[in-house]
Amino acid sequence: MSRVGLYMGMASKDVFRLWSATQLQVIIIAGICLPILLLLGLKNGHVADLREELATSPTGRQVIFWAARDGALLSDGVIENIRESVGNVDVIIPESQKLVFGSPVNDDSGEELAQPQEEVPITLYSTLPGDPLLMQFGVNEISGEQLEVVLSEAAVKKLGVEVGSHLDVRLTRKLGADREEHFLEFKVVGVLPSREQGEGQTTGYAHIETLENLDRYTAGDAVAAWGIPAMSGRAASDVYESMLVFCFRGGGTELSTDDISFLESRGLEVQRLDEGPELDLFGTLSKGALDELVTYRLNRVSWEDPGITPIRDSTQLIVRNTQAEDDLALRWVDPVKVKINGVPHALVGLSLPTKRETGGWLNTYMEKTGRRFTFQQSVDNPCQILFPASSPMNGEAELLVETAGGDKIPLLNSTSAFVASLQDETGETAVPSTSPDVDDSVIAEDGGGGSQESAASTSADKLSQVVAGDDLAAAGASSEMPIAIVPVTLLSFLEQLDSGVVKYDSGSRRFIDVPSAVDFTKARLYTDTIDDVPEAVEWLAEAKYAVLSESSRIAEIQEQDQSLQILVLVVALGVFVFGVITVFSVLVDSTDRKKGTIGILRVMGMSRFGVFSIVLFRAFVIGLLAAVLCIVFGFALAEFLRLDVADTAALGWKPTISVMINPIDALLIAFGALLCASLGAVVPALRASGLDPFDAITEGQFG
Amino acid sequence: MASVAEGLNPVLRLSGLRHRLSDRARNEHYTVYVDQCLEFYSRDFIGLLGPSGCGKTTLLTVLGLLRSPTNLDDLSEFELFVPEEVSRDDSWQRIDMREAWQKRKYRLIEKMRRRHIGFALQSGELISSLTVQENIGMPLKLNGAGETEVASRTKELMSQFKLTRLRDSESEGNSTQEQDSDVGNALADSRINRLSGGEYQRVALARSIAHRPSVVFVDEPTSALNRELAHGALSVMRDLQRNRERAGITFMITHDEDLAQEFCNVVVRMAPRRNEPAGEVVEVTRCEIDTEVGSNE
Ligand SMILES: Nc1ncnc2c1ncn2[C@@H]1O[C@H](COP(=O)(O)OP(=O)(O)OP(=O)(O)O)[C@@H](O)[C@H]1O
Ligand SMILES: [Mg+2]
Repeated sequence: MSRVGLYMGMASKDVFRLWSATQLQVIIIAGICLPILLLLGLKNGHVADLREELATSPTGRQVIFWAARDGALLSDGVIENIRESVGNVDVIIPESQKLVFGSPVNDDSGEELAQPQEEVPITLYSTLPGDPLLMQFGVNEISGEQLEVVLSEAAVKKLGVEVGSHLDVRLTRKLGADREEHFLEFKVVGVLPSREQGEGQTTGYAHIETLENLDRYTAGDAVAAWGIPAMSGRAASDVYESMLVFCFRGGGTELSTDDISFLESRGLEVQRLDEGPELDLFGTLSKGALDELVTYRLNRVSWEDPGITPIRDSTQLIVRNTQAEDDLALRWVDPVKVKINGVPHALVGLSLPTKRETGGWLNTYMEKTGRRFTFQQSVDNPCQILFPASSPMNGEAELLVETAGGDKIPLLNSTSAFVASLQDETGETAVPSTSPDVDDSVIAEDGGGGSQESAASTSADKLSQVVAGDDLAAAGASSEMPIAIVPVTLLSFLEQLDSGVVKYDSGSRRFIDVPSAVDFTKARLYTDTIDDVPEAVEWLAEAKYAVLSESSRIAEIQEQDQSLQILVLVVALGVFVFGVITVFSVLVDSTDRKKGTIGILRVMGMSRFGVFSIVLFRAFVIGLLAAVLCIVFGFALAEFLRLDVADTAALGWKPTISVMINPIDALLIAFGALLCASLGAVVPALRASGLDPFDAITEGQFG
Repeated sequence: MASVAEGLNPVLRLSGLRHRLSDRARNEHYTVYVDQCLEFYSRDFIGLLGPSGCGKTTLLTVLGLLRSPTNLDDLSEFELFVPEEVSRDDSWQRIDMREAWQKRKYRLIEKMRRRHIGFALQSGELISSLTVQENIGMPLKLNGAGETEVASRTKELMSQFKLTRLRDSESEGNSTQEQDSDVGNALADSRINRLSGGEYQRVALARSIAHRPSVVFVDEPTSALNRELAHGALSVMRDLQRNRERAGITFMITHDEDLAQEFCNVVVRMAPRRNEPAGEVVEVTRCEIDTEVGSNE
């Protein structure tokens, strides 16, 4: 260690004590490095000038993208994924727009408004808190819950409102023949100055939630946040997995093997029923029916086989396309266990054709039991119910079905002949054949129930037994579980409700499709800096989004930056190479001058490594001094070039040049200077250390 | 190792040594022969005389381990005896230089040069970036001596070689007092280019023996000194080499016959051969060391 210290001491003594000889070397190296440093500074300055405009406006770091080219729709999950994958994302704002009509809220003091205000159409765009477009005008917060809105200057002028005042917004929607109109009160929280482009446009920005709600509203859905129910025209459609087919017994009237294979080819599995409550429709058919009729059950199987064109729910189609004569198909859903006003019931869905309709012959079997009834197929009013007379619920005014999902659905207790006839049989009070609020969807067929032979009690018992003996028992129903008859539509909806496809809209008393989460197709994305834009654009384009951004300009600037960098590097490399050569020759020369010294050191027993270290370290010190000199001069020059001295008469000629020396560049140059000096010294150092000591002395004398 | 009972400790022994100088570019060569056995003992002061160009300096570079003998294969003897480092007693260690060169033990050779050999060459060759005292202390420093040791030794040598110069500001009354101290000696911190020719050579001499080497080579040391100064410097040198424990030998190349007669107890004469470009040792004369002179110091 002390030996290395000795070498370093000797090297630095050589540099500083023989300064007149070394200063030139320092100046030469510094002079080589300075132009490179300035060049880098000029390049940085130029690029910074180019970027300034883009970097200050929010559009610089804006990327608009939309799912036009197979990009995934922008659900919350997709947006979150984009945010995480792209990186350096400031905010992503899904784009949505809606036309609304605004008018200022009439204050109590109506005089303020000289002339009656007209409605102003306003195109509302989506935004989020932290939207750079709004932040540049000082709007940092916008709330969806509070119904806040930022308006364009033109809109504000036309409406005669100001920040802080309120705005009536009229919404309209249409579904079929239905038209609806609602009013909302928005609060104006900001004004956007109009720019030349789009001047005079009455636009506004509202929280994305508001736009989402507007979307729901226009689609006819209920908007819970605004207390608006779904439109009456909205109703979900019913779907069925199974059907029951009734045929007369006999060769030509049952389903032929052709029929069965036809049905199977359309995705329906055919099962001939030999037992079970379906055979007599849970006891609603007369005993004779079992002897005269054959019952099949059709179950939908997979439609995944591409060769299958499925028959969906059309009973008509099936009946028409089978060879069996006079067959009858019914949509079927297996009974559902629910609680009605807290009492467990099995709901049996029966929607039978009327006497006049195809398959109306079924009614003749009901006539025999006096239980002739039918629910018409209706999605508009599925919530009807009939109870056997024995049901504890019979006659209750208000009934609520509690579903497994916790929904409570009010039912119309459709007092009907079915009930009436049963009651007649037991001699209890007759119920009016039609209740005032039951429309003709429940048609009580007058079949002279009183003359029927079957006893109501036996029928009721049979129903209970049947239910008990069926799947419901397995599902946990008690053997005493009473049944209730409902339109099969209700069962279909209850199933769909279970799987979350539909929901019950209490406003319109209907089952409506669950509004799917609003998926956007377009969004504005802001990266943290403009430099992140190209990467984001690349990612989005790869994910098949159409993208619009300033990335081409940014890329151009980055490209310029890069090509200038390359230019500088090429120049620097050239200068560096010549620098090394210069330093090399300078150091070779100065080492040659030191041959004598080196010789005597070797004579005195210094190792070759010692001599090598001294020469190298000396060069290192020179490089260090040069680097310091270069950086000091570089920064001073940059400062001078940047200085705007136009006022000064003496320096009026001097243009203002932006030179930005970045510390990393400076370090790089310093490193380069050191490297250059060290590289330039290696060969002389090796040569010096390899000299014959005595020759070195003799040659040194003449050096 | 060889301990000589009579007090004659051999320090350098060689025979049958040859060094061939060649200049391939000009197809020239010159060979220096030492055919007889030369043996030098501790305290010897050897004068190497001969006509100019006969190979004195060349022989010196070989003996000084700067260059290898060129006949390593048939070289009979080339040995140095140096004080053993570890032991404090009078034991000497024999180093076979022939083997060292043959086996390319350059680290050993460098170490031998650093520890046991001193040079004061024809032009002195002091290091110009160092001061006088730094130059003198350099061999010690190279051997890893501490600052204080180096400082005291250089101070001692400078006063012994009368390397003193008064600072301008000092009054004459104080001079005697401060001559010994470093502070008073302006020459100590003076740089080499400020020295007179005589001072330069004395510094070179002082440096050559600073680390108490076993062998000191002095190549025409007195050319820049007047006779009186030359005598003074040489006698200091000789006494310092002789009068210490495990004293070393001194080789002095000179053209001055009188100087040789006066200072040297061994005189080696060289002469060029007549028919070939070669020089050889032709005569070695040895007389008793003048003990009186030696014990004076
Ligand atoms: N590389 C070489 N090749 C051939 N001949 C050389 C070479 N170097 C020196 N010589 C010759 O060898 C001879 C001996 O040189 P050397 O320096 O040993 O002489 P010297 O006895 O020291 O002379 P001086 O007393 O003048 O210093 C000289 O004649 C010289 O010309
Ligand atoms: Mg000579």
